[in-house]
Amino acid sequence: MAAFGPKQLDPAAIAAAYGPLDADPWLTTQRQAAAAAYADAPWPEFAKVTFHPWKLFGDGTAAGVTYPEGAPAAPAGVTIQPLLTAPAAVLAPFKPYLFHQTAPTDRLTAYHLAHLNSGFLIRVPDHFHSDQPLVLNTQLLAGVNAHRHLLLLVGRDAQITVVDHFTGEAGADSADSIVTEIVVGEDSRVDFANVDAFGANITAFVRRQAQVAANGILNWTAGVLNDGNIIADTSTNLVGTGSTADVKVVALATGKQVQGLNTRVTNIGRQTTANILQHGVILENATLVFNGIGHIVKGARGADAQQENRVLMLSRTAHGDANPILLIDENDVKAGHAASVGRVDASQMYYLMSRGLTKELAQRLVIRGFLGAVLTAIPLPAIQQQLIDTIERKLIHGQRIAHQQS
Amino acid sequence: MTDAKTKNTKNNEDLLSTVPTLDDDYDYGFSDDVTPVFSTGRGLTEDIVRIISKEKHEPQWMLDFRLKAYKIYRRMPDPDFGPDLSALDLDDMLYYQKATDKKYRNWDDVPETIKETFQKLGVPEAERRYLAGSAAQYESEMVYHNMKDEFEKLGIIFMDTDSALQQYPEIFKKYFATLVKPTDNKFAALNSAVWSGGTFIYVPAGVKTDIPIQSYFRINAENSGQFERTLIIVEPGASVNYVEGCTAPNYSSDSLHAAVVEVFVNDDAYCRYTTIQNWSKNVYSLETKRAQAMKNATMEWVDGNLGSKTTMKYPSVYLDGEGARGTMLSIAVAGAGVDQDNGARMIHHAKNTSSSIVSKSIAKDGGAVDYRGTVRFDRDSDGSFAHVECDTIIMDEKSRSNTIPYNTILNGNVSMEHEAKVSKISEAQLYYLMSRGIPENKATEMIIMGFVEPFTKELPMEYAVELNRLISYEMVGSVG
Repeated sequence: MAAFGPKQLDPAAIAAAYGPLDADPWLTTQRQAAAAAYADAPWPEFAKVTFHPWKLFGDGTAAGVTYPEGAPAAPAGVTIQPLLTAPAAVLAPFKPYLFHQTAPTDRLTAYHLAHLNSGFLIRVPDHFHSDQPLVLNTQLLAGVNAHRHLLLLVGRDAQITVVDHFTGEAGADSADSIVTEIVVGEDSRVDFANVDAFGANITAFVRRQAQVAANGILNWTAGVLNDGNIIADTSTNLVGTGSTADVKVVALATGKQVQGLNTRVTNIGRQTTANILQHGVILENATLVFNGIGHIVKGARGADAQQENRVLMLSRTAHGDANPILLIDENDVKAGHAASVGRVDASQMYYLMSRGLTKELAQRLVIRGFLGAVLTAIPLPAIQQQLIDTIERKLIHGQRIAHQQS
Repeated sequence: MTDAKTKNTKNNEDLLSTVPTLDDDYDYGFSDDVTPVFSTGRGLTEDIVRIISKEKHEPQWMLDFRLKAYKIYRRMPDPDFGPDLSALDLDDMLYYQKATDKKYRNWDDVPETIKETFQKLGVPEAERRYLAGSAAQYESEMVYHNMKDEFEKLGIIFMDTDSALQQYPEIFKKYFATLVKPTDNKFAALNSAVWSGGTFIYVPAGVKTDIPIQSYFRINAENSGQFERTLIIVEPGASVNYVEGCTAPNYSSDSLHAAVVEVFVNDDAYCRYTTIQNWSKNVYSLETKRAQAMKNATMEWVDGNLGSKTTMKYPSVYLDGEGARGTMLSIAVAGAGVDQDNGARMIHHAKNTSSSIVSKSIAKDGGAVDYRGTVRFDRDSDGSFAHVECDTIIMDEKSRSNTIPYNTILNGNVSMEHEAKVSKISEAQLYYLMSRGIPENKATEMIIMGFVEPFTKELPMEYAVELNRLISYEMVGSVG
């Protein structure tokens, strides 16, 4: 479908086309509401990213995803259900939360909700504790538009690790949307890691939205290693008193791609703590935009919002943006941000090269160190290693290009 | 003042008595009953633009420029960011008012009421004591400008911008509106259509002055628009230090100050441009200030924003020559009903350029103070460096602050550091001071003074004293 998307969506046509996918007719009414909201909904905001002409719109009832390691399995006690085929009785406990954080208030979310073609509902009961991570390995198919929705509902005093890992199939283009809702209950701790490695043929809108109840902790690690153009919004609302979010983002941009990332934490409850750490590396002619947004709303007394955005530029023609934004409506707070953009540290390079390493290897080691602060926070060693391998592969490729240019 | 501060007193009461008493009113809120010798009345039409140009006996090209800008203004929207400007009634504004028939070079000749106003503001005294030159604008026109002979002899040109258009048409045309085009923003377009007054400074190659040249801008009538146009040209190897101050009477209805400032700092030249903006709380201050720094040139903005109802001002430096340097040092204080939306823009266009932005903001009594800035490294900015530091104190629970910096980097061979902090007054510092017998309001004031010191210490002494006094005044009643 063309850039800029359709002017409007017809709710009746959406219901006719997508209704047959839904086991519970309630889902179809949600699609219709989103379709009706679409025409007047504004574009989502990604400062300094011109994404409007991208091919972000594409329909189809086929799922657009496969599971290379089989359907995801949950640890005992945790339930995982496919979203669309869940009957009303299964859907019922999720309804108070489903689509609440991702209401169709922007054009792309509205489009996503109207066209949902795959998804999961995960429920972690109260008092559940496990060190065994729940891993979702998903491959986005070439030429099939995926609109995948995930709701992770974690009860009180629970603890779980979830890894949401995406790869892409090479081939024909597709326009995908990946939207996730996370609910962290009181006194619970969730370690959530998403590793996005969509292929060059995939243009995507990614939105992940979390809310954290009193004394809840959300440790969020995001690896953004896509090859195509993407915009991704990672937002957390610290609703409950004493809740904490620790968000770490590592991103690598290569080729001619554009990756625009909003990483936002909103302090709503009292004594809430937000930390954002973003490290990015840009090679070749790529563009990487970090919009870090720390928002402390009125009444969030004692809130603490910190963020750090660091970008390494490895090519003269790279384009980087590090925009650390603080929006503070309360005075009894601590808020700070830091940002830096620069080259690979010359003294570190000198040290490594004086030990006989080649320039390329030295550069890769320095970069790995730079990204290490985030990489080591990835909860699963296998995924961590995969991420390191992907980064290594991209760096070697980028260095080769740089070498050919010079 | 007593000599108590030199003694090692047992308690600090004596020391406290040395801190000046705080006023609790805006000192400059008085107004004069001056009937203008010429006014275009309320509102703005194309005819008024023609009348302004005719009244000034301008060449045809300037009239054409104004008319073109007027058309641009008519179709330009308000900025899509920052404070709400919907309450600003542009149809009720007085766009051009001339208070005197001529311009004076001696205070004795200035009409009595206007002279008194500037005396109350301390302008003639400051000129005698520490300025190389001084100018005063009242409503739309400069009423006074003078420069000491010794500086005139160096070939420095210092006059109002209207006179410069008549007397130095070639230099004028070469630079005018080349940095800030009418299409830049709505208020730059409006200024271009109705501009009047402002300062023109030309410093010939190699001429250096450390002693400041000052202009003072005063709005007197209610619902006035002041649209001065300032043009500063610093030729290679020259240097200039320019200072401007602004005040207006208190009225219940709004006035508008929409200046355009263009500064050209040529190779190896230096310019420092200091503004102490202390408009009354019924003035919208919507400014466009821009400088161009060529090879190895230095441009420094020093920008103090204490007053106004709403300020939108983001002075910029286009670092267009290799090795150029740009700095911004600013403070903003927003009290009740005030929205200060300030910042800076540093655009690195050439190799080995450097920039520094240091911004200190204070919000109190429900005021809003925002930092909004841009650092941009373009493709050809190899070896350039930028440093940004934004610190904000929010004094009470009614006040708020946004920090919105955009850092765009299009060259891999540059570096940038950015830091910002937002907090309340440090409780540890307050506790320390109060445990030594200093009451809370005085302790708060001392902490604030320490916070803004990096700014005040860059000001000429007389300004630093004045600024400290103004900040003390702003702090009155902020505690308890």
